[in-house]
Amino acid sequence: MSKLKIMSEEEKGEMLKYLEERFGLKKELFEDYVFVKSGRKIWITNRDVVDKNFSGLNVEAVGMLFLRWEKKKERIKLTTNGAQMFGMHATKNVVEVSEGKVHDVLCGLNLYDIECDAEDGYVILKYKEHILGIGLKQGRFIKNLIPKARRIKKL
Amino acid sequence: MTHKINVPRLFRERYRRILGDEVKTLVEYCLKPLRKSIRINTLKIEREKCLRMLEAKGWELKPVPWYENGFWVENRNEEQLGNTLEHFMGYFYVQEASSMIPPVVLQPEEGDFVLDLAAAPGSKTTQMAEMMRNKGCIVANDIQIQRIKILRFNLEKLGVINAVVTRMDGRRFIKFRERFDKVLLDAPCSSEGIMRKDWKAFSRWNIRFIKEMARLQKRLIDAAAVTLKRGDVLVYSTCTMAPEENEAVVDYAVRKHGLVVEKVKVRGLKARHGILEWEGQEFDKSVKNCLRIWPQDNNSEGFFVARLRKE
Repeated sequence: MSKLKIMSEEEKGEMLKYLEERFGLKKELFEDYVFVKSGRKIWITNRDVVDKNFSGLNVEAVGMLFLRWEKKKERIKLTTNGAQMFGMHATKNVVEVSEGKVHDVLCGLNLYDIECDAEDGYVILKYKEHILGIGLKQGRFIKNLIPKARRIKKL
Repeated sequence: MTHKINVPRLFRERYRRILGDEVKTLVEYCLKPLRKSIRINTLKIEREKCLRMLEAKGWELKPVPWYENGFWVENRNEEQLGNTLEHFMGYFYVQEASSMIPPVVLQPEEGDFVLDLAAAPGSKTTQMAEMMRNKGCIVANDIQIQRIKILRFNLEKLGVINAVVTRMDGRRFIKFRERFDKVLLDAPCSSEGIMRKDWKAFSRWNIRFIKEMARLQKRLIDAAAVTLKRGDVLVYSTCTMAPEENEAVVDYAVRKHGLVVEKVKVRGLKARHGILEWEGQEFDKSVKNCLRIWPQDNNSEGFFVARLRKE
């Protein structure tokens, strides 16, 4: 993991503003966490971690990969794990997956003919109280962004 | 159900010296399929809620007595465990019941700076993170990039944020004197205790490999002992029954680093004392305080655990 640094307050503010605008995630939710930046990747960890002595250690990762910042497209993509951690607090751009479609989502299939109020762009996929992950909505189509390694074969 | 597998004669002879005629029971259990067990991940869901969800699906769950979030699953196979919404969500992790013992013996606490020296695939790291409620910090180390990938995947899937993953030869931690509050060395080993998962492993079993592993384990415990802070605790564990990799390594650490082997009591676990002699080598009397867990004692994997304090 190269050039790892704690996110500046300005960058953090920009990120939290996006998360609130896009998903209704209040910035207060993130007060107890520290964000670490490496390239376009943002990792989330706790405050205890940053105080520790890691000198001489070959660090590969800190905490959980939380999101990727797509600067060119001015978009931020939450990871599946990041969405699962905070998605239950989201109030906007959440797509409820029906009982009949949950299998498709967990297997990595895209969703077609979805009717919902969510805006185009990244959406949180939810089934009952379970946050499944992230999709990319374009009209009535939602591209499934759950990583291959997380998908299951069948329910 | 048992399977026709050729258990090496030398394997039987070695353990006859410790167990006597009970070696027949050991071999019988080595050839039985392993019971499936899971650990509910309370970083992502409350235990009772997850239990209700699984029981509603008809799962028969029996508590693992030594860890409150551990359960044996009586009526599901491994594939069925994996292909569920609850597994996808990281609400539980498939983990052998014996492998839940080392973190229970280490008892990491919320503010601790913990080193998991040989962490992949992350079963015990994620369990410790759960015990620490995602507070403090765990350095989760492994050496191979492929194993690191699996480790990172499991940590993130289970919602662990207090881990820092490092990729280093564990022996190099000898350079970082008295840095960690607690150290878990779940050492790479000859894996005799998990042959119930892979009977073919008996065909690969040989003494040379055991001795090779024992040499590596001594270098790793050197590093673990040096990087542990004075007054704090190191847990050494393996999933093998070979005394060369267990009592002999602990005896080495006692003599070389002055570590003290503490008595351990684990709730509901049937375990035996460490042995005090093997092939003419006598071990320090405190080695008796180690836990030797034979597969037939709890119908589990074979395991060995020692709690060592640096005074």
